[in-house]
Amino acid sequence: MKKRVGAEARGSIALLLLLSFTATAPRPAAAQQQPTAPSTMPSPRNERSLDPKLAERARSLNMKLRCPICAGASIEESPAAQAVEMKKVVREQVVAGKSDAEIEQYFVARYGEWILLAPPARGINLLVYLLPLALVLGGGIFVYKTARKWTRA
Amino acid sequence: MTSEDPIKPAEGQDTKAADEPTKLSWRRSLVGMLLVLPVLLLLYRGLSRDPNSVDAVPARIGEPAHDFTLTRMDDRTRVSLSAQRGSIVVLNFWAGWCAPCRAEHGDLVRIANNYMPKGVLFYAVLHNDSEEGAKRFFDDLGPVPYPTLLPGTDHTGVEYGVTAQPETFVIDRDGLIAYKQLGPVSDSILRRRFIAVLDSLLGPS
Repeated sequence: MKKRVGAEARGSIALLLLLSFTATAPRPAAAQQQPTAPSTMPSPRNERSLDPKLAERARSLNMKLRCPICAGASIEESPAAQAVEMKKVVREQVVAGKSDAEIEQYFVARYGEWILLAPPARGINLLVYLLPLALVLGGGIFVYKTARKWTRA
Repeated sequence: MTSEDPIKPAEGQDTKAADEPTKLSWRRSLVGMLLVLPVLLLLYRGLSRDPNSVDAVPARIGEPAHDFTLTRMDDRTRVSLSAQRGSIVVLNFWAGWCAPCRAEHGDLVRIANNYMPKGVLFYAVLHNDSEEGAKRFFDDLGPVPYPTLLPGTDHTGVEYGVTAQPETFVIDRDGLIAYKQLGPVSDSILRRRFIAVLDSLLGPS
């Protein structure tokens, strides 16, 4: 019985770790938001003849929006017809002077929060941000205690 | 897991466990349960979801459907959704190049032929494709018995939160979204929800 519980706990740790990895996978997209100099590599077919500042805003918004067809990719990275269409919408709204929040809200209203690659850190979503931290901390404590027990024996 | 833990590690544990199989540290079982429980909850939540719907779908049921004005492929007249108020409307977002759209074509035409006489309006909304693509599709598979609407400039698909073709919407007599089908519709016994929604909106005849 004792062994069974241990194995189960280990299994669930592995599962939770796996879940937390998939949950944190979108992070790189969020990292792209940092205000940088006008992009050195604007995607030409999408942002041609657009003011560089607006193009950069459209690009950073694109990076935050999930491509509904590709797994875990943003619409910026996707050549899928649906993503191209969505990029057009972003571009039009940026040109029309909508704020980033308004544009994100537009997509959330139509697709749900799911459309955002990085889930907003509130409610049950907090798990995604806190669980990996808790697991690393808990794992560290566990390893430390076990190692001490071993060295003492 | 502290040093006071009654369970000694590794050596001798197996024989002891065999002697007293029921003696289990409550603290350990509690920790085990606390770890397993969230996983079970997540699995339960996942299993009770409809694989044909993404999270966003239920949220939009009952909301007003986006009012579009699009051009008919056949006679070039303009069709707007608001003008159809009072009728049940089915919108099928599709593309000529899309394989699941080919798969559903036969069933969709059959369903349309059944329900159009009852007053349900069907529209094929061309999405992410050109008129040529639509023509090729109809040449291959035969026409649909209802109008095809050409893509406009209002990003109709995005307004409807379309993720990929085919997606089929049922809009009730008040212009509210009653149902959204992700993926092909079918009149097979396993996937009749689309038909069930039409029947319930039509009411007893």
